[in-house]
Amino acid sequence: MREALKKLQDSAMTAVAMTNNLEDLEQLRVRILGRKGELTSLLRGLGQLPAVARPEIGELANQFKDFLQQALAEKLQTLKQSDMDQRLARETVDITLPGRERQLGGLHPVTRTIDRIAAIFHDMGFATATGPEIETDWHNFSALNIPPDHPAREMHDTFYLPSAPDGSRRLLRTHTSPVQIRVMEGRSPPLRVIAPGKVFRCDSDLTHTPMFHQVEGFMVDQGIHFGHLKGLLELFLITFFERRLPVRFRPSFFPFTEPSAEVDMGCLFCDGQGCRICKGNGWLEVLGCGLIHPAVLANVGIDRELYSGFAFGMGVERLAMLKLGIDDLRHFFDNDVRFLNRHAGLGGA
Amino acid sequence: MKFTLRWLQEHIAIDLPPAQIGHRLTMAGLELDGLWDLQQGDSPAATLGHQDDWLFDVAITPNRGDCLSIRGIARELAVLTNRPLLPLAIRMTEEAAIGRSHPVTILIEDQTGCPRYAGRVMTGVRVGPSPAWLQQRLETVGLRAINNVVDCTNLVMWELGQPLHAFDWAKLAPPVVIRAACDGELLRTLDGIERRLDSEMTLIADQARPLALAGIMGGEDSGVTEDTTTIFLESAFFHPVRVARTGRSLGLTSDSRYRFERGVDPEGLRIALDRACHLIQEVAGGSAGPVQYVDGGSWQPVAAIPYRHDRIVALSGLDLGWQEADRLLTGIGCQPLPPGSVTPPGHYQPPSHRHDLTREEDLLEEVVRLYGYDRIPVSLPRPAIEAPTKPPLEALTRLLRLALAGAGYLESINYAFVSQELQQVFDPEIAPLILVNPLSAEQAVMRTSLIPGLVDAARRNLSRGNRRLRLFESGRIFHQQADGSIIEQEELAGLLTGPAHEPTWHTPTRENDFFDLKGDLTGVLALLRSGIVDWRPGGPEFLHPGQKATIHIQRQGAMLSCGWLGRLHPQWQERLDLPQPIWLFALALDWLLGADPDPDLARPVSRFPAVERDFAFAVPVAVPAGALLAEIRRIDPELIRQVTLFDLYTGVGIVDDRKGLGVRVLLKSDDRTLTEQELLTIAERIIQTASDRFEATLRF
Repeated sequence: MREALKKLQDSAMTAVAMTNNLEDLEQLRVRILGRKGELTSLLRGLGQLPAVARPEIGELANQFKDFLQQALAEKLQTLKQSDMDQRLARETVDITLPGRERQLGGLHPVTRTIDRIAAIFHDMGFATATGPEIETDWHNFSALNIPPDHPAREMHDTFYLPSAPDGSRRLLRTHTSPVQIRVMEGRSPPLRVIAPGKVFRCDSDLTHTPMFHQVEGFMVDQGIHFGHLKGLLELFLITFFERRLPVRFRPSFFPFTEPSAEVDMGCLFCDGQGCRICKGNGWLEVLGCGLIHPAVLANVGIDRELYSGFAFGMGVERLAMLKLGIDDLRHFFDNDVRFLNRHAGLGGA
Repeated sequence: MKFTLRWLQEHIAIDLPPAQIGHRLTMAGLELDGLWDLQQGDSPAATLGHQDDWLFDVAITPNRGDCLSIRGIARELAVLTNRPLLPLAIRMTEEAAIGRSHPVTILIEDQTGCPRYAGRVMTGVRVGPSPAWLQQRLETVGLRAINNVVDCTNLVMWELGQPLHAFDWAKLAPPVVIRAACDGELLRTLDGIERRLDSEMTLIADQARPLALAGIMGGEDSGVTEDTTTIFLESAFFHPVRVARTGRSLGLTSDSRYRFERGVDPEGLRIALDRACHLIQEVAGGSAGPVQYVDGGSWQPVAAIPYRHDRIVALSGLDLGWQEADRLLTGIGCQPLPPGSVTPPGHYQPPSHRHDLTREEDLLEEVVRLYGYDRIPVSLPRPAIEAPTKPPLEALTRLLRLALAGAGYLESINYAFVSQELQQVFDPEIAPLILVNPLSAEQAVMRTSLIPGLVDAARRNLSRGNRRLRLFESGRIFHQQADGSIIEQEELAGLLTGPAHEPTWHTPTRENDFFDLKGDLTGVLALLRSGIVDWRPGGPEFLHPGQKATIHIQRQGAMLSCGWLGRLHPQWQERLDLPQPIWLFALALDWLLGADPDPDLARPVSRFPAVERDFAFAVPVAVPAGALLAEIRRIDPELIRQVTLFDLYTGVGIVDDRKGLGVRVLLKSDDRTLTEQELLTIAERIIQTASDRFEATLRF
């Protein structure tokens, strides 16, 4: 009987080793260890053995059973693993294939730049205001201290429209400064306002388009002085360009501010060493500004003895070109999708 | 304004390096535009050969007419660098006898146009080419050498800022009259062009005829020529506004006009005549008569300007003693009143050449400018305490822009003016606003819609091989009202054309169609949180009649049309030479503002399960699917939360004049789980309604 047991064990172990799928393995288990299995039927002969031999054989049979169960469990594990491996191999994709992309569009670089400028000033407590693109002579010029025969009018190549029914002259605004007038006409200080928008000048060449964008900003309150203007604009430029560049204020002339200044910033491209973009002098002109002219305050009925203010204006395309590295102004309104795609985004520039 | 270092050094003892001089000027508001070493070959004066000199080009702002001269620049530098201004070289002889042999009477009839006028006769002048040094000096700064007499007048203009004019005495029949032109009077100016004048212009004339256009240009046949031996030199103060107006209405510019309209020194007439005589006698000989000077008294010098030093300090943010401010102001020629005070003066009298100084802020600017903007300490205003406001449309515009960008659209910005032709293609019934002075026919009228600009952008892109386009724009359109007033409206419009996506390995490519655009807009409009959007047949003429719709949205309970979408009509497509179909949409943003919110969004989220029921209907082909869906929704808006179309079928298994519609209905209650019986009842009503209203039968 011991030989029979040994023989069964050998053949069972061989069979386990030979099995290569889960079904066969289960059948094997039933064939040997099942209620009608070979081991059971073998052990049925146990009763015919002398009583003294029985414990030894019984012990052997149990060992064999444990041994086989262990082997079956190991084999089961192996087969499951190999099944999983096969499945994983089967399901493997070529991850270098392109994804099912939802192609995003984007905002125009001018919009993005305006958004960025506006966000910075909003954080500094400025509100946004808008005004008409077709303006009156009063709002665009006279109220801003530019009387009809002032040579400064020649700096603004103005597009004119047929006169209004009341005979007053209509024109396309040449700057966003008229919004300053409209806001101050309707509200009292303290005021902190920015006014982004389209402006128009009849000039078209490599560096001028007949339409472009400006952001006007101004602040009127008690005790405002030129040092505030410097502080605020320096802060703005550092935030906008994310660089601590030198900033200089240079006297200039605008009829609606006095004192007036142009603001230069150390050239972004050569760190002030002088290059093609800054025309070799190391500075980039980025803003115009000044204290609001007393004649302008008088035109909107603000008491200049009580209040003072400053105003500033910037060209959006210029800032966008500097920030995004765009080299040709004419791209902006050509709307070639290759250009738009390159500079489009969802956030501020 | 161009000048050379050596010429400058005749007026100021300055030994700073040229770059340093340029920097000082720039930081005082006279921006250096160019600086060239004339020994190098790359200057604008390179054709004149090497010179041991430097050429400056400085931008002069319109308020600083006093700096349109070498002397003016030198004056600025004197106060900026503490260097002395040198006396003007004037060595000339004057002969009283010429006054008797060549008597001149000057009559100023037009006191407004010409407040002051001075003139002098010079006899025995030998007109010819200028000596080389004079020609070179003029040409280096960009002037043209003509003859020695004219060159001397130009040199003085450049040097002192006072334009002069030399008449040929032989062609003059005194008295010299300064008068307003007659309407329609003709004058041939030096440039050979016949000018038609009007009574708003000032003339120099004699008994017989007009001789020169005051302050702008001389007449052709009274100027100095090779044959001239006696000249009449004019040095006048013409009114800035009169000169500006005349020049502008004639479209005539000159160095003379440029200076007069910015204001020359009303006290500088005689010295300019003397300096000119000095130069003419040096290069052309001759004898000078006495100066005839007429001051009609119409020009009042600027009154003394009140000065409050504490206000200067408060507005500049600069802690500056009044003595330092006084040093700077007197340095540019302002006289303190009262003079020699030990307290800040109450007034300053500006010098006659500074027309720009009229009020306290002008003095503030001078002090700050000369002291240096860079020396003003930086500070920040106190923080705001009110919540900033934004225009109501801004948030909406921003939301829609981002939504469209998320849906794959690129924002474009087109010109606000378009060609009238293109405007008429799209809005033939609207008369656009026409620009009085357009740059070109392509930009002649204000846009009445964003569509022409977008279509033009598409045309450009298609011609460059960019076939797949999704574009949008948001901006103003301009409409003239019956009463002549103008309305500016915010519009949002877009365009879709080409394949829906690039060819990929996973999805076969296909061309965009109506439902791509409608789907995009459905998603974008969903952001308005208004559930009530309706698509109705209709839309502009230029759209395909079978593929267009108007978009209605509920506002204050009423359905309002706020836009449209559709395919460009094939005839328009052909006319515009577009190689492929184009889908367009436009939305009036004003109308979208304030759309009623979706009532469903006000309900709490139900915790009871939702049940889906699918129905396969067959309806006549002409039945609009949307009508069926809407009608089903209306059966029980409380429980029927959503009705969607999951299948549209024609073909095998269905008769020719019918189509199959697969409708999925989502049912849900806020307060209970729906029973089988309730669901059954609703399903029966749905089938009944579909059958009654749309001849729908169930398919199995």
